[in-house]
Amino acid sequence: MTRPPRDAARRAITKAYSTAQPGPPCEGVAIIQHKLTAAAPHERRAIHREISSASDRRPNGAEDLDVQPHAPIRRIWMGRAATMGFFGVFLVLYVIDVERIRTDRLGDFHHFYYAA
Amino acid sequence: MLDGKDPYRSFTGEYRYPPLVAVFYAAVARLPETVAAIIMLTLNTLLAAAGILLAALTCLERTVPSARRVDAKFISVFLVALIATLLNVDKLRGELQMIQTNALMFFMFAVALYYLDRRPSISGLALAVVFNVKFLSAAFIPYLLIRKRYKAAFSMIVFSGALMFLPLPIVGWHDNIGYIKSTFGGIARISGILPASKAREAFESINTDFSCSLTSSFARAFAACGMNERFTWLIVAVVLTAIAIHLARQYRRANIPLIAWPDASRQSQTPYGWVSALEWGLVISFSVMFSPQTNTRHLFLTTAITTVLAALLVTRHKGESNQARMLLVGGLVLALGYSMPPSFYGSVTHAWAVAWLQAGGACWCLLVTCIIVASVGLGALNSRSDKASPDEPPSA
Repeated sequence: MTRPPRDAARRAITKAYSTAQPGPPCEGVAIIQHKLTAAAPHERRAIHREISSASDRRPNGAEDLDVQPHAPIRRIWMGRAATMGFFGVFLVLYVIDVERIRTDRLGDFHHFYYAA
Repeated sequence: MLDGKDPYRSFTGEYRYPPLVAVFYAAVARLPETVAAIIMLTLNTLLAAAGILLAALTCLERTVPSARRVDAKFISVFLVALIATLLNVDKLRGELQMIQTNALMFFMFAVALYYLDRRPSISGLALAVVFNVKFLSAAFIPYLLIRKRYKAAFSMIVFSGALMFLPLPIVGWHDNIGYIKSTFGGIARISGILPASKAREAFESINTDFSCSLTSSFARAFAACGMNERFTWLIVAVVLTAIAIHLARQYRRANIPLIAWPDASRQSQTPYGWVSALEWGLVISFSVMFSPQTNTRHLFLTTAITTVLAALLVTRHKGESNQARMLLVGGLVLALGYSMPPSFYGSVTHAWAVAWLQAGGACWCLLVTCIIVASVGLGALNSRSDKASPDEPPSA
């Protein structure tokens, strides 16, 4: 049974970007290009959308498939998790400290405040 | 200060900084205390986050030239920042909880590193702001001169002098000079140069109980033996010399000249760019470690070394598993040394925590981490220059 082109493209894109290295186009990209050539026009649009999404919404989208050194998808998700984690730590500490201030625990702040 | 009174004699009696901090706080001093505190907490939180992100970005740029590419930068910067933050999260919590000034200082240190090659005068200005908050950037003056970064050093000296006179329009010439005398009198007292009886203000001595620095732990040991606290500086000199000899060996192994560096204009190139970032972390950490007074909140500034550690870890190459393990051990030593033993008033662990602070335990752990990071950081120069092209992306 033939897989829908979009699923096949998704797998190929994942492979392409997880193995991407500087240099000539890799195997995954060749698969994508083959699928694009074989796909019907409406399927081609779906593949393009998938490529744009997988390549982290690069401005050039599918036209930019000459495999620039690009971060693997694993690293993109790691980056997103790190971003949320980083801001999450600060947000939690901030909320706790606002509560502390409301209960009149001002830390060293009053030394500076009354000096000014 | 806004009412024409001496900030060093406010009713809390705890203001010991150069006048610049009081000038910053003058912006919120007319607001109700709670509102002003929330504004300053928000500002502190933003400065701490921005400082860590900027430090992570700069360390990555200097570690891996290809990190200048937007996608690799975006992904790795937050990863480095998160690791650096988590390793020092206990001190970040303390900093925000006490609404201290270390977040501002760390942000300025990060700005200084970012602009070190781009605009040395801005770098000097940032270090001057730190100097006018707590003098902790003083070590950067000799460092910049040794590294032939004359523009940055000159800018730091000029701006440090200029910023001391920032309160002039508010308080007038006479009071401004008085504040500067108070500040330097306090520094002389803390350093043991001026006896307590001659200091104008009630500054604690070098062996004060709340200081966790190695210098203070040595001073307390001397005081317990009934010896003069000035001997402390002798033992500090001996320890620093031993560390310098060790680092000199590491530099020789990495084929990096210890002193004879090229002109500042050529120091952005490999390997000097990376070594500058490493030294930035080390100078800040050693300043905190050997300061005459380091309370536990100051340890937030050592996020500088955790950022360097995280950048090394994230950009490790295949085959560097031993180095990665060493970095993890270094990070663990620091994180545990900073947060253990837990302190609960009245419990046995509180007594342990006090003993740990008195012995300078946190700073001993920081010293171990600094030595590991320096060793791995300088070692990476050799291994990576052989294996990787400059544009190879990091492997994390």
